[in-house]
Amino acid sequence: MRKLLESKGLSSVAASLIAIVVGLLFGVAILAVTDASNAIPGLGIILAGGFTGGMKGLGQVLYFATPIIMTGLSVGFANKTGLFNIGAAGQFIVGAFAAVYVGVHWTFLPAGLHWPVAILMAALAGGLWGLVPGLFKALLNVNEVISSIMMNYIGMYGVNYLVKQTVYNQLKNESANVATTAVIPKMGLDNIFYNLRGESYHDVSSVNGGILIAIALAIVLYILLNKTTFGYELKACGYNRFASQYAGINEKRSIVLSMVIAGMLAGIGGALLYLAPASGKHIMVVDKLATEGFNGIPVALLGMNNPIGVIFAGIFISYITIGGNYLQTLQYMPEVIDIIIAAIIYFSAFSLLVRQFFAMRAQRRRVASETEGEKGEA
Amino acid sequence: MKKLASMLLALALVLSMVCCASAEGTIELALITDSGTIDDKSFNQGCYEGMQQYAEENGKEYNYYKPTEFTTDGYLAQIDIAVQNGAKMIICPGFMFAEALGQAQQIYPNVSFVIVDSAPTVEGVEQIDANVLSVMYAEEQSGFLAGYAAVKDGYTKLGFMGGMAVPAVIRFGKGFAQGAETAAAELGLTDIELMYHYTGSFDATPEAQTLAASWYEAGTEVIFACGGSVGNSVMSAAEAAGKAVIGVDGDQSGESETVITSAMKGVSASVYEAVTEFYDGTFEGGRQIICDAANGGVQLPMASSRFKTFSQEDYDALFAKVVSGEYAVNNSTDDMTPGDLGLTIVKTTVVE
Repeated sequence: MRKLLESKGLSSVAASLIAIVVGLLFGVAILAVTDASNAIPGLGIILAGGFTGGMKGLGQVLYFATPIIMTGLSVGFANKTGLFNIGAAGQFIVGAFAAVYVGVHWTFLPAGLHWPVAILMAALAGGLWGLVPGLFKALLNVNEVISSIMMNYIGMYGVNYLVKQTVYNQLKNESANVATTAVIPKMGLDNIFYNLRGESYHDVSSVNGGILIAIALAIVLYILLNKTTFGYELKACGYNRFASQYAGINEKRSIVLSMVIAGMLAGIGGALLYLAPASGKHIMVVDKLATEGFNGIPVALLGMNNPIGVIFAGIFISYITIGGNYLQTLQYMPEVIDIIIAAIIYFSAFSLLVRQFFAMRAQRRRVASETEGEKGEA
Repeated sequence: MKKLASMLLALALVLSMVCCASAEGTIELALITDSGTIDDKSFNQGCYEGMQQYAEENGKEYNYYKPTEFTTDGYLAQIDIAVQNGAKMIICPGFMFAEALGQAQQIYPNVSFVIVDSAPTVEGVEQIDANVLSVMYAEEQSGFLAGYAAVKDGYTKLGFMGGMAVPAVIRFGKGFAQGAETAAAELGLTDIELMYHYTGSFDATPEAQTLAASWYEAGTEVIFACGGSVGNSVMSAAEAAGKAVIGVDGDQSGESETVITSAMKGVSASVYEAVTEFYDGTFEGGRQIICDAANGGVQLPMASSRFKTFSQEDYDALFAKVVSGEYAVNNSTDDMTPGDLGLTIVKTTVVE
């Protein structure tokens, strides 16, 4: 039992869970400060998350999870190679633009091919946005944090400009609707995630095949990182760039490729969110960095940079966010709810700290039991 | 370690019990915000205050809800939450709700809706069901009043800074230009400058403030700040430059000393009236009402205005002529800027 508990994988999960519980307790404290009488039902609503909205609510959880899983994968993947990809916001939005552009204008593509091509172009655009900081890092040793932050702004302002030039809906100050063939199909999810209203009206969730694509990509990444030489090289670079160079790994190539792949993942995230029907997301022309990009960071941290962990972390954060939304039924102000959700996510990112604490305690106990054993022998 | 596991388990048990304690809500009055907030000093706030006023006078419960994302799906999801929470009457401020309400009016036939500034659309075609009241305003008249008064008060270098180029904002701006033209013609002026710009959002941004400051620097005397929180940016610029601002939607004279008047539309009064009718049982949906000068839907707040020479008598004469139709104001929104109005005295410079 103890061996199992102290195994690495399980202690990671336990650390994440404990961080989440601490975050929730903190959230309850804020709830209690703002409106004490509703704090406990409030906690209930947060925990009930998407379940409050029935099957549609659960669908919404997956819908909101899709983009942050992708940016979480992006940040987590770069982290494995020892790079901090804070540029997911920029990669995300250029990917989104590429997808929307293809979705609106490349209507010559046959129906079944339109949306996959749009996603592919998004991956290319996102990859390009990752390539630049990657090259700078590998060749000139420019810190990737600085260059990717700058790429965020270039991406945001560039996309705002390009949307206005090419795919603009002036009336709503946002991107135009993509062609119906470019909308990511529901892949059967609309038959699962809906609420029945009246006799036969299906109140369908916004979730689409994007979540399946995200999960598939996470599995591919997991295999890439853990079962291939290439993945091993990437991780080796992450542990020690110079040692891996000494060991004969082309560390420059690894760094560049790692950033490109990270960029592609974030770019695909943009495509998955914005290749939506007319009732869904459009790129708003506002001077604001995509929040999905930054939300990828806590998702990656909570998921311990593990692609499979990231899936669960993304779903969890989305779940909590939706739960927070339902808090409005208790007359908590939306602004307060934002604070509570942010606090929970904030504490969730402490999972690494919790794990270190565990490791330290386990080691101390081992040392203690060893000395005890010696005494017994004496 | 075992202790920890059992503690976690206990906690999980307690929490899962808490989960089940949710009940059907009783909050009958609800407002869903668009991408703005209820303290935007203009549109959302006006609607909210109308609802709040009735609710507090009559002891009704009320609440506002903010969508998780500003899309048709997002608005619909939020309407759903409001209904689950007991909403019988839902206020939807603005243009962004048109498509969402087109669907919501069919999904919730027993809930009444008021949509301000727009009408529900089903696949792009306007369709107002029996449970929906659409309230529109003659913004062009309100803008006209402000433009006329400003020029009569001696301003000749004007600016217009709109938010998003939605029909309501376009009507305000083009009405403003026509008012200026009419007043200038009466005064025998030959040259009125009008700087014209849409910021593309209803937010207070540094960009809007910088642009306003540059206009003031270049000689513009008064800017009609027409777009929610955009006004805050323009007011900051005006305070720094010692110039004037014309507010919008509500009476914004309290926001800043620089506000000489406000092109008002009675958002809060309309919402108040609709809510009152709802509780009196006289709420009549399936129609669109247009609030204009004739029924008191638009006006300038003369009591709090800071004009130099433009007096109450001038205003009354102006208002009467707008009501009678002697000053007919073009309300087309086909062209976003005053370019199609054929103005001769007002020279419009459109800033992209």
